[in-house]
Amino acid sequence: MASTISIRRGLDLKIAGRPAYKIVDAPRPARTALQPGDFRYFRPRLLVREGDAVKAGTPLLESKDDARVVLVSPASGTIEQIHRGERRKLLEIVVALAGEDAFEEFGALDDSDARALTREALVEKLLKGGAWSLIRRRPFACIANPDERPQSVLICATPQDAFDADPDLVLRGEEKDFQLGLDLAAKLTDGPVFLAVPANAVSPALTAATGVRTLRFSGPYPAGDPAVQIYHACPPKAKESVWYLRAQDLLALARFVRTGRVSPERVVALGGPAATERQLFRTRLGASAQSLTEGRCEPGELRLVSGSVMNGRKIPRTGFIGFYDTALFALKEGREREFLSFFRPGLDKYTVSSTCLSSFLGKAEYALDTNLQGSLRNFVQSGIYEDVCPVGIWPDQTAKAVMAGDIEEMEKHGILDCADCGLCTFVCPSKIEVGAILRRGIDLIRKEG
Amino acid sequence: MNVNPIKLLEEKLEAARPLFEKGGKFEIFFPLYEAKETFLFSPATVTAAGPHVRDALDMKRLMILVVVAILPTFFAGSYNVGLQALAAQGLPTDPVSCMLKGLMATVPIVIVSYAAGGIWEVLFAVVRRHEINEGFLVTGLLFPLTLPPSIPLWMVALGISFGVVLGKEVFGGTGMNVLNPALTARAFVFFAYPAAISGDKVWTWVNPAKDKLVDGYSGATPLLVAAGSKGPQVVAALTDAGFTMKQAFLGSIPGSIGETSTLACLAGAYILVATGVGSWRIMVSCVAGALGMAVVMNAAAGPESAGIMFLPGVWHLMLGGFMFGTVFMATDPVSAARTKRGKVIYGLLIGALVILIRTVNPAYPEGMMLAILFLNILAPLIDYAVMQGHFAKRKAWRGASNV
Ligand code: SF4
Repeated sequence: MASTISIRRGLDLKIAGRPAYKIVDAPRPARTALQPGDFRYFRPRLLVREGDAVKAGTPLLESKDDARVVLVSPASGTIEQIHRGERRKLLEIVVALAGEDAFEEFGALDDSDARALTREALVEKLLKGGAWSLIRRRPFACIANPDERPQSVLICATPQDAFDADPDLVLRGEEKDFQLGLDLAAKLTDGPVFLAVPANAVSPALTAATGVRTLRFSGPYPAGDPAVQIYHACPPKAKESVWYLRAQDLLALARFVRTGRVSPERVVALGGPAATERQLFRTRLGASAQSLTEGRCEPGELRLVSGSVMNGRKIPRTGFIGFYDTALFALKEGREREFLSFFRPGLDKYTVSSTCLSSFLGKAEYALDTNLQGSLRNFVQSGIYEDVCPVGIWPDQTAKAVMAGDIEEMEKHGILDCADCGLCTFVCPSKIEVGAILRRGIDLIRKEG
Repeated sequence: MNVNPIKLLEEKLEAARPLFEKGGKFEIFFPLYEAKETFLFSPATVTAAGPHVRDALDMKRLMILVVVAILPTFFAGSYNVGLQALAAQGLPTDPVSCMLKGLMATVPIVIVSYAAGGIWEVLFAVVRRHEINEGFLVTGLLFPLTLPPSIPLWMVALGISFGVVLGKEVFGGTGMNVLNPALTARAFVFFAYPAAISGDKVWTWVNPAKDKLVDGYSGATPLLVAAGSKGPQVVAALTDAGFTMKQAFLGSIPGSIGETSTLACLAGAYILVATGVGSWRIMVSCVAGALGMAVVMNAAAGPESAGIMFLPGVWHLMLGGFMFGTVFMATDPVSAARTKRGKVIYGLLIGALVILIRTVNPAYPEGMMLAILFLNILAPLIDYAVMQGHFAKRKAWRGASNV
């Protein structure tokens, strides 16, 4: 029985550049990369050196906090470059692909053997093969702790936003593996497994799934975000955790258990106002952005975002798609200046408020660029932030608690429920990075708590 | 050759930038450069990280909209200043003369307010190395509108200086202040020079020593008349003094420059609410608080009470600075309560307090300024209380919603 949850707060992103609803094969990328920054609070210890030959599934990094948690190579080839940033922070481990994929073997299992695995055996297998990193937990949105038993597991089979690869399309034909994944997920918790699907889902992988509680989510962005779904369906109690996987990650996990090999296939959507060929591409985990954008984006200075335009990571033209991301968003860098901008009625401006004429006669979609649309000021306006927050936080008040360093107050505000959706920052007329301030607060709790 | 003058201006400004940046000749004037430059051209800054796109609303647009909302009261007020002055001297009161005469009084006051306050703004911006805050565009216009037309210009300059420096800058600039800076300025003038801003001699722009005034000219505001009358016949007393409800609504009564026309205030309220810039919660609850308190006072009035105890609530809304304060002062987002429920409580208390001050202390019939300033101080406390409720609700919800 599916129940419906409609998320009221959020924002319909009236941004141009939705991808077409079809999947095509992308050329095989020449490089893929593992980016430790994709894994929150993960302190990496490097296991390889530049020039090493690796197979798909060879461990590249292990956690300094728990050596059982490893991150493995998404492809076979050679370690072309280990890219470090400030204070020698590891940024990217770039693997140059060579020939046919060679895999590390972790033991294939047939369907019934896979279903017969005990929890311990499953956890061990996932840890060994690096598939553990597909499982994340709330609070903190980091890789799950293998010693923990989550209160419940949520499988997020909704697109993050209108520019994301929709699992309802991606999972067609993958019913068996997806169901296996759901059954394996059930082993991880003593509580229920929730399957979050779009309200209008039709793919049998989603509609005929068994052994789970299906929740149909509707509403504006970020109703498709697992953190928002967990907040509304099964918020973790104090000291408890809820684990979650996005649909394609669960599929990869199931394939790994079945075949004993890392499963690097991913479907990634290319969208955004500066993308000219917008659709879904069948490509690989951590693929180079160029393998998708080459010849499919407008010329000029562009910003590429791995993930959602609202909270994804900015990557260079030569960068790589993030580990959990299934979308690539292209838009123009907005360095154009406008003469007496605030005297204009603003027919072509996108605002949540009613301060531009567009608010009354507005277009359906705006080709937004990255312009900040103003300059930094102190907090002035109030009442606008909580109107968009999908998890009932009062973001400006919470940000003040963070700036005061008051952990108790932050927690009372429910800061750990923050889905990092970016909407409070988006609407701020003082151009304050409200969401980033909250993230700083969460980091502080993580460190002190 | 085809030269785009706007493009040229942009290039000229850009070329001058190094002079004002770190190490440049005019480094200390960077805030001034920034203000002028970003005033003309929207900044080219791009987002550093997600969200990679931003809403088009910024502080400049926000503050300009407030200024636009204030303008009706400025023009209606100026017209009325002319009307009152001409009528008091028995001169013809055709619309053009009224407007011209009025603007002669109000324009210098506004200019002095902007100029004197602006100097402080720039000074603090330069010393503190922060940008010039657009909020001053609003403060510099609101303050003069709360003054009588006969105010000496040096008092305007002194008042706005006080408001900007002690009402705002000592706290750290727009956004950090506790009190509404425009009202702080007015409070300063009120307490430092009470004779210039109260009584019945200041509200009409005439010089009683020189100008020949018509017989029966009094100059008292309707609030003074109401406060001075005795017993339940207060509305009759107002009518006798020549004040009808229609006049009070349209604003052809003596009073502070911008505060007389209820209609103009409502036009401003419409702009603020329709654009979402001003809080309707605060405006509505202010009115509700005042009406409620007026009913209480009417009921409590005995036969010997001052007339203002009997004054119906609707009259209160149209007299003195009530509507102007409700629409433009109480809604200042920085000094008001920030939480939604907090705004309702804040508004109700302002409304109730105004009526209380007006009726209980008829010697000082205008309570709006004090009521708002007092609630400015209480606002953080109100928010604190509302937040405790929010915390409790969140906790209860968390406990109940788990599987
Ligand atoms: S606090 Fe801000 S970033 Fe966090 S969920 Fe609410 S709106 Fe999104």
